[in-house]
Amino acid sequence: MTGRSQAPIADLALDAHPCTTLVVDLEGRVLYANAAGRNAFGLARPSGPVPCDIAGWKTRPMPLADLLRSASMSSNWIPAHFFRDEVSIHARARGLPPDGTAMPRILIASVADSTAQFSIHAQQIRDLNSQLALYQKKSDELEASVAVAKFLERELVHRVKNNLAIISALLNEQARSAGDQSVSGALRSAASRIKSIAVVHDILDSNHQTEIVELAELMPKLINGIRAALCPKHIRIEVETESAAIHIDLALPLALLVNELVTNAIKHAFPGRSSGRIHCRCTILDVEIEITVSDDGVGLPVDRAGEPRQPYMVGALVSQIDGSMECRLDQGTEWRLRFPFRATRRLAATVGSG
Amino acid sequence: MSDADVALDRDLFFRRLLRDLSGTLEGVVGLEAAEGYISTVGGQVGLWIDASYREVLGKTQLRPEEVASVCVDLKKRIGGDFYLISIDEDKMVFGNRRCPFGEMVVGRTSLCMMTSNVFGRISADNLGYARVQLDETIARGDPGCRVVVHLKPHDDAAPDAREYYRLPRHPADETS
Repeated sequence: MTGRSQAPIADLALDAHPCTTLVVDLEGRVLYANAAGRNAFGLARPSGPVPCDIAGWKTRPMPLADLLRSASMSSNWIPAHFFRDEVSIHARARGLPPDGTAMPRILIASVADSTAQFSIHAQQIRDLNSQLALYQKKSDELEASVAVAKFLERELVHRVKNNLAIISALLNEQARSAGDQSVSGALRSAASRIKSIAVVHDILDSNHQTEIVELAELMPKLINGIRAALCPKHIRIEVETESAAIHIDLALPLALLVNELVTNAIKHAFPGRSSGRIHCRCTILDVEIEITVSDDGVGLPVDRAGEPRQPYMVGALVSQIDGSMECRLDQGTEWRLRFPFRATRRLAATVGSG
Repeated sequence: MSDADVALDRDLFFRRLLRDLSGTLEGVVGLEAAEGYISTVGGQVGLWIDASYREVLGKTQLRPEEVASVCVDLKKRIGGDFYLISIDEDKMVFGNRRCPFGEMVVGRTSLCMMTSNVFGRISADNLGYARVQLDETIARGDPGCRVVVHLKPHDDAAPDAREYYRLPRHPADETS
C-alpha cells in the first residue's frame, strides 16, 4: 500500500478513533479535531465557518496558555486536565515537530483515567437509577389504576347481579299477582330468563371475576335455579357437564339457551303425566361445546311443514354464538346444540376463592 | 541532641523528599503519567537554567560546545558528576558517575525526566532541536549514566523519542 493511499485511511481511522484527539496552536485555536474530540470539547468542525478553539476551558496543572507552551516544546506527554462547568476531560499533551514555517502545534489526547471513567460510569448509573425510579413510579401508578379498574369492574358485576336478582324477583311477584294465566306465564318466563343471566353474574361475583365463568359451576347452578322457580316436583331434571372456562360473551347466551330449552320441556313435554325426566349434558369436543337437552316426554308440537316447533329465542341465540342446532324426536325430544369454543385460560388463583 | 550522629541534613532531606514524592506519584498515576508531571517541571527548570547561563555569559544563544559545558557544569553544581564523552554536529554524548539525587534515584526512573528535559530544553533552545536518549541510567541500576543528545531531527525516530523543539519567544516573532 502506498503512502498516498494510506493517508485518507489514516484520516478515517483517526476520525473514528474513540480517543479524544485535537491539534491546537499556542492560542488554543483548533487545527484538527477527530469526532471524539469535537464531541468532548463541544466543537464545530475546524474547517467550518465558525472559529473553533478551546480558549474557554480551564486547565490543570497550569493555565491554558502556559500548558500549551509547555507542551509544545517537546514530544514528552505532559498531563493536561481540562474542565468547564460540570465537564472534565483528563488528557495529555505534547508538541508536534515544527515544519519550519508553521507555528508550534500541540497534540492533545484523552487518557483512560480511572477516576474520570468512574465518574462517568457513576453518572450513568445515577441516570439509569433515575430512569428506573421513574419507570417504577409509572408502573406503580399503572398497577394502581388497573387495580382500581378491576375493583370497579367487579363492583359493577356485583351491582348488575343484585339488580338482575331484584328485577327477576319483581317479575315473579308480578306473575303471582297477575290475574291472567298467559300474562303470568309471560312474566315468569321473563323472570326466568333474567334469572339465568343473574346466575352468570353471581358466579362472576362470587369468584371475583369479571369475564371468565366455569362451565361446571354454571350449569348446575342454572338448572337449580330453574328447578326452584319453575319445575313441578314430578319432573326430574338431571345435569351432567364437563369442565371448561368460558368467556361471559359465550356464557350469557349459553345460559339463556339452556333456560329456554329446559323451561320449554317443563312446560310442554309432560302434559298429564305423573313423572318426567329432563337431561341436560355439556360436552367439550376439542374446539366445540355440545349441549344436549333431552326429555322423555311426548315430543314437540310440529309446525305446518311437520318440523318440530322451535322454542322462542333459541334460533337467534344459536346464531349469535355461531352455533348449529338439531332436534330429534324419539321417545321424547332431544335438542343438540354445537358451537365453537376457544379454551380460555382460567385464573385458578381467583376462581373459587370466593 | 545536636551532637547526635543522625544521617540528616538539608541536602539529604530534600533528596529523600523528592524520592518519596516521585515514588508516590509513580504509584498513584503510573510511571508514564509521573514522567509527564516531572517533564513539565523539568522543562520549566530547563528554561530557567538556560536563561540564567545566557544572562551570566552575556549571550543570546549558545554554541554546541557551550551547551555541552553548561550541561556538565549545571550537574556539577547540584551534586552530579557528568562529563562529556564526545561532541559533533549530530550529537553530544555525556557520561555520569554520580546522580544529583544520589542513591535516592535508584528505582525512581521518572526522575531521569529532569535530566532529559533540562538537557533537551537547553540544547533545543540554543541549537534548534534535541532528541535525548538515555542509554544507561543509575536509576535503572546501571553503574553510571550514558546520555546522548541528538541535534538533528530524524524521520525514523521512535514515536516515543524524547524530542525538544525551539520555540519562538513570542508567537508574533514567528509570523512576522
